[in-house]
Amino acid sequence: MQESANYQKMLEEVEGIVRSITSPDIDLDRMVNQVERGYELIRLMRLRLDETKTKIDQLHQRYESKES
Amino acid sequence: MSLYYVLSETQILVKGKTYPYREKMRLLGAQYNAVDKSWTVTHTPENLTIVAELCKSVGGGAIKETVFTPERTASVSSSMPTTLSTFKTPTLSPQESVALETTADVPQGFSIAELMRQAQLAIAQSFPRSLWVIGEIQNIRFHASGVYFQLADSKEGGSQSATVTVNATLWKSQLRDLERKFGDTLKEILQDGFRVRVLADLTLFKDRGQLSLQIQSIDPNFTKGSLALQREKLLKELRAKGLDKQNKSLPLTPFPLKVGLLSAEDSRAKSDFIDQLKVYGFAGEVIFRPCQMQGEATLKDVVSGLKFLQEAAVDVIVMTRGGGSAADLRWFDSREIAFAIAECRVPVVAAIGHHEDVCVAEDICFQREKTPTAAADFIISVFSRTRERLDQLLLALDKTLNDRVKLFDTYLMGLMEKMRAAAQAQLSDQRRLTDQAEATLELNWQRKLLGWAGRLEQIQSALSRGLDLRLEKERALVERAGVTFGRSLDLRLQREESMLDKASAALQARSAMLIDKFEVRLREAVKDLRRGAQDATRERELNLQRFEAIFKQNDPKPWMAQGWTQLFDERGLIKESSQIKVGQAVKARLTDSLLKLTVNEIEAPRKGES
Repeated sequence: MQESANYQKMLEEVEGIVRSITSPDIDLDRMVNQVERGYELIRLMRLRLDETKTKIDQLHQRYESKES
Repeated sequence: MSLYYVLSETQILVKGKTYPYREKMRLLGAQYNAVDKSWTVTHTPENLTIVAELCKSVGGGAIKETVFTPERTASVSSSMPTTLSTFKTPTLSPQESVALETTADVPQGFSIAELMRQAQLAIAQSFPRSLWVIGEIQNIRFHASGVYFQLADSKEGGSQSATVTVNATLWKSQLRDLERKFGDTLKEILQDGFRVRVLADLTLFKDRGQLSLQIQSIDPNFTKGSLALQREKLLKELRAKGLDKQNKSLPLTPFPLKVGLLSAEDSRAKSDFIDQLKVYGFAGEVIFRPCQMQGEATLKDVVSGLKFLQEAAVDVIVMTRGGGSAADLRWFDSREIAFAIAECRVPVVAAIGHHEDVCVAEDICFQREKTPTAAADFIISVFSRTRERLDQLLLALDKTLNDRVKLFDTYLMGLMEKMRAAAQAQLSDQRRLTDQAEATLELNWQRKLLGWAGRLEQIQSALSRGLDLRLEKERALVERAGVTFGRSLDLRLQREESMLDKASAALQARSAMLIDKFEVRLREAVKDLRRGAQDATRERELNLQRFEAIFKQNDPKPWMAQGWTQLFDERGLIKESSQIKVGQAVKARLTDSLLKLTVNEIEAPRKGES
């Protein structure tokens, strides 16, 4: 639950960064920082997704082995 | 007043203003008569000459018409016939006669002064000595010079209020003499409304032509007797009507806790009475009714006060006054107060004077006490007497009860003795009868026992036989019932087992079918779950890819790596040359640092460049 909430927060932050960098008057320094932060957040979120997929596969396999 | 003398065969009586000439009278061997204040001198030619000259020298003279009897004391009341002679034609002197002859035509008559002088002389001749006069005092006034009042009589044939009066004066010197002689009695007598008997000289004030009595002495016994007579008359009337003992005969409650007090406001009598009650710790209530206890208002106040306290339902009324003037006691000899007390339905205790004389109110009241304190003592004594009476009754009751108890005790002892004797006799009889009965009973009992024993043996053998038969029958019945019951039980069990088997098979089939269904659903659910999870992660992955594409698209690093940058100052991004001026400070970001620049020149755009 905590992880879900963190994922959701990270998603909201990424959306905010996207809105910010598409603005025409954004400062270059700020834009560089924002983009860096966006990449970092996406990396963390991807890791979280990969972990989730692995966990789902493991649960399914455990279920299948019990049934058989 | 001048000096006058009256002649008899043996004596000369000198009267009038004799005090300045008392020494001369003594030299003549005269004797003083204190009653009428005259001097008696032996009738000799020498004495007569001396007395005549003395009287003449002060404007007096001889009185010839009055018969003088030396042994008799003058006593003339206002109602007595007087010896006043009729006026004579004035005797004229030789000089006056000459004058009259020369004025023969002028009508003759008395001048007022002459008339007064003749009247004064006539009065002096008619009343040569002091006389006793009886009348009622009215309008009395006490002054430094003496006491002034009027003596009055009811006018004959007139109404009750119509009176005939004469002025009277008691000079200060006479007043002092009388006070020395009679003491406080004089003050008691000299009051309006009192009838008095006074010894007085009748004189005429020439200036006003007014008769006046100069009081020389007073008879207190007359006034006291008169008051006593009135009092006795009132008491007689009360006795005749049976009212004199009416208040005395009223019952006095043994606990007079509600006391009505009739006294003057703020008087010593009131405080003395209440203080004395407090000394004894009187626990009751005192209802005080203020009233005048002296003066004209006394009658009205006392009568209304008695009525008020009766209506207040007091147990006893105390009517009290302080010392005060003994003369004020006369209000309590009045008819109004006497009848009010007689008709009062509450016992009245009177403490209205310390004097020896008892007034009517005190005479007919329930109880007379001398002082307010004594009245309070009387109230307290009622409680004491009640307590004593109760103590006596208690003792008497105790004694009576003791006597009765002793009597009953003796009677009971006798009864007990008789009962014991009777009981012993009865016991002996009973014991004897009991012994006989016991012997008879035992004999009968043994017989009965023998009979019962035989019967019991018969019953026992019969019972034994009957019981054996019965047991055999019951046993056979039980065996038959057991066989029947076993058979039916087996059948029943078989039926039940068959039903259970059927139900079990049906239940098993139904369960298997349901389990199959649940398994199918479960597999589908697992598939759905996996698919859903994969879809969700894929969707998020796609989102991430989209965000990544956006970041790649907006990332300035690639074009900065190619040498591109932005100019900006403290106001923000600089896009056009119009935003800057020569000499202005601007900044530019490189991939590894920040450049701070100054504008040296601004070239105008060349043709073809936008």
